[in-house]
Amino acid sequence: MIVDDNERFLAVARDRLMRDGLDVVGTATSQKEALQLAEELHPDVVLVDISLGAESGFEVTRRLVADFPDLEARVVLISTRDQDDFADLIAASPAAGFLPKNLLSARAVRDLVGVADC
Amino acid sequence: MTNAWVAPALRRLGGLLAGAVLAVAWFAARARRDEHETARLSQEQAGQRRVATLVAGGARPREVFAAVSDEIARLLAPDLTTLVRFEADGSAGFLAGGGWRGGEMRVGRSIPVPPSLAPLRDGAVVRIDDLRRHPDMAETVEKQGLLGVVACPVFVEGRVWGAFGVGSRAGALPASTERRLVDFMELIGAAIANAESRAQVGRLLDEQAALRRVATVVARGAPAQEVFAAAADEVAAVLRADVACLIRADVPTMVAASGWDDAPIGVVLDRYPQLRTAFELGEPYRTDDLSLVPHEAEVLAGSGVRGLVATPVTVEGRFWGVLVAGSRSGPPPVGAEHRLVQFTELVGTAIANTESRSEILRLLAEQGALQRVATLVATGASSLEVSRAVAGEVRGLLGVADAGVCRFEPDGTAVLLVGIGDTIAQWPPGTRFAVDDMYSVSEVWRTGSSARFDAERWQQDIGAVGAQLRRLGVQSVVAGPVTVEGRLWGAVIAWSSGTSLPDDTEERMARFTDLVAMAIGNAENQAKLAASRARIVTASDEARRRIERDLHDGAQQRIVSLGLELRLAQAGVPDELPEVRAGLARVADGLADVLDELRETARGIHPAMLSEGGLQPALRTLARRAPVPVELDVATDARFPEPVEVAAYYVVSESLTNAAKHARASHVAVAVSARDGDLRLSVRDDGVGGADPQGGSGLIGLRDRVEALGGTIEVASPRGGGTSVVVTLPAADGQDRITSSRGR
Repeated sequence: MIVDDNERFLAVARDRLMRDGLDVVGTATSQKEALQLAEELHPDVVLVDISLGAESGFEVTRRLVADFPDLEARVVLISTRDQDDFADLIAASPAAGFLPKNLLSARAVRDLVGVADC
Repeated sequence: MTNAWVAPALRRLGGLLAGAVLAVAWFAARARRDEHETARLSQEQAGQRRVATLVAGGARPREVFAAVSDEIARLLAPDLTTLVRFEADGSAGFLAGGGWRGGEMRVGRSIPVPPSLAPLRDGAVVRIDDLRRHPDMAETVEKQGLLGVVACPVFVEGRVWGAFGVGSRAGALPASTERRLVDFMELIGAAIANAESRAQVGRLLDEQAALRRVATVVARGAPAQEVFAAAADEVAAVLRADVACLIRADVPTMVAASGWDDAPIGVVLDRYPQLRTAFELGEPYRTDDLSLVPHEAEVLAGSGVRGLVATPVTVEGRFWGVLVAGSRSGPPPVGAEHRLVQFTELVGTAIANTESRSEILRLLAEQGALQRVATLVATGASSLEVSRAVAGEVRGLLGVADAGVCRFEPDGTAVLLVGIGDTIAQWPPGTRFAVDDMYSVSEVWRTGSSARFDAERWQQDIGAVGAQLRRLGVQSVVAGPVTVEGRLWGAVIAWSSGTSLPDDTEERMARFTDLVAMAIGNAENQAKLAASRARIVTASDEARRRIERDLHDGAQQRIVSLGLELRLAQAGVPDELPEVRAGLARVADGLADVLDELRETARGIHPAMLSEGGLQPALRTLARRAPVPVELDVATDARFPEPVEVAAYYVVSESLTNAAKHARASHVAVAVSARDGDLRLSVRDDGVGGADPQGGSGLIGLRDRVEALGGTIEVASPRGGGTSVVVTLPAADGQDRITSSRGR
């Protein structure tokens, strides 16, 4: 599942990951939607954009992991900004790691969450 | 591989490539525009900050006008600038400006306000895009070649004081002109208000010192002649008059003169000066040009005086003579006659007191007290300190048992700010009571004039506080209004037990309430100025944050998506077309570079980390990126108001840059803590030191930013001893609560 407020990116990312063999079961553009979809779809991995308009991706990550303990170390933070800009916050969050949006690929995601079968 | 596959794939590729090229071009244009916008904004705001710093530093209005003219010239490059003051007679006096042809406008020249510009007097902004359509401006078009004009009113203390205008000879001025001018007008207004209140206090101090000196001469029992001479000298000095003299009426004689060496002192005049006719009306008198009234000039013949003001001196109700202040260069300054009146009272008292000195001693004590309070006002003491001093002096001077200062609140209550004395002590400062609880206070509140309750009237004060005071034996209460810039702010109250307060208590109290009013007016101006500086800084940060966000949501997102699409396409290119694959890879790499550059630009505009996670992680990022090892100690994880966090961030960022670039430091220690709600920040390096604590555009920018938020910054940089920057930023709203009042 991907959470991002940019529709265009959602489309491209879904395309990219599907082609790599990852099944994108759903996309959300807000915290509310993300929590709803996680409830319905039980995704293995969630990609969360750090800058979700007025909302914060860190907060979304925290809520996701709190509500769905299975997602512990299964959330990947993504951003067009640099990892360095958020290093401390990423380290402090329950996310598995960070992926710059421009380097998005199924392999990179698998490497981060350390699972081969997702 | 079949052609059927290749053709659509190539078509798709072509589309993508075109998209990428377009995106790069779009990005470049966008970045140029953003850069331009950022540069323009920072230029504009730096200008406002420079002027605000000048105003806050107490610069004289003339310096501030010049600075504003410079900044506006830099921002708008108008052909012509003008600052005028509106005079009481409807004309406009030219104060500053540039670009006028043929010396048309000289400082001091007054002209009538043309109808086209008249709305300025009512506080409206005026824009004229083609002056040729305004017949009343024909002369300006002809002589100055002016076509476009934008002018804004300058407000001082809520009144239209004057106007600032810019003109263009090329045509209409740009649409943003009004907005940019208006931002500066507030600063000009604050500068003028500051200077006026400073000048007022300064004048008052001068006058009181002069009166005191004369009173001292009287008090030590000097002969009348010496008192007269002292009075003439002080009048000349305080009014900056070329000549001052005292003429008695019974036997027409000039008894003292200052600034006129061969004055006919003691010589009985053949004829008493015709001036007398005016004095018999008991009014101050003014002649701007003595040559037009030769019979009046006789008495001053040989003094070279061209214009004069004079006031009658009355001794114990009788006309005694006149006090004259003359100017050799032309008309005496506006208001000189009113200031002269103050001296005639003293001179009159001095003359009357050759027998009894008690009155003069009392006056001396009062002048001393007034001077102490005025000095406090002049040094910028808070209104609370001044209130305390006034309550103390009123109590000591007027022989009252208790004295206090209270402030009216909009809801019909009064808050006791200060109270000195035994009975008033049972109401601690800050006590709030309804004005009707004390009839004297309520009368001041209703009428705006002073109120007295004693004898029978006092028995009628059945308000809660009044009744309680009566039970405590209070017999007489006087309350006087404190009026700040035309609105009723509060009251000074005094009471005594035993006897009624003397008849002149109200009058003597009024001299002190004026000083309280002045102190409060000053404090309000300072608060307004501080708010305006803070607004400038906040607006600038807000704009930068918006630009960073736009860059992120727009260009950066789009480039990332394009990059991903390109890589998708790249993966789909058959192995038989390696050059296509390589070409695509190059474009994708190029896009990645563009993205990196864009991130760097965005980071320089505003640290996104700050809005996201607060100061601590943002400073960690700064420390990590610094070219010098940084030891970071953040002893608080509290969040502060955004302007405070942004300021702290820039202080550290700028200091780290300086440590690496100029100080050649090998280690920097950064410490952040929260104390009493304030943010305290220090940056110390082990570099070469020797930085100019006042200088360097970076440090000045930081100082502006910190001071605009009401904070302090101290830079120490001994040569060879490293550099330390210590900053305190108030996190709470630092506005002086005392300045709120009923008028709001």
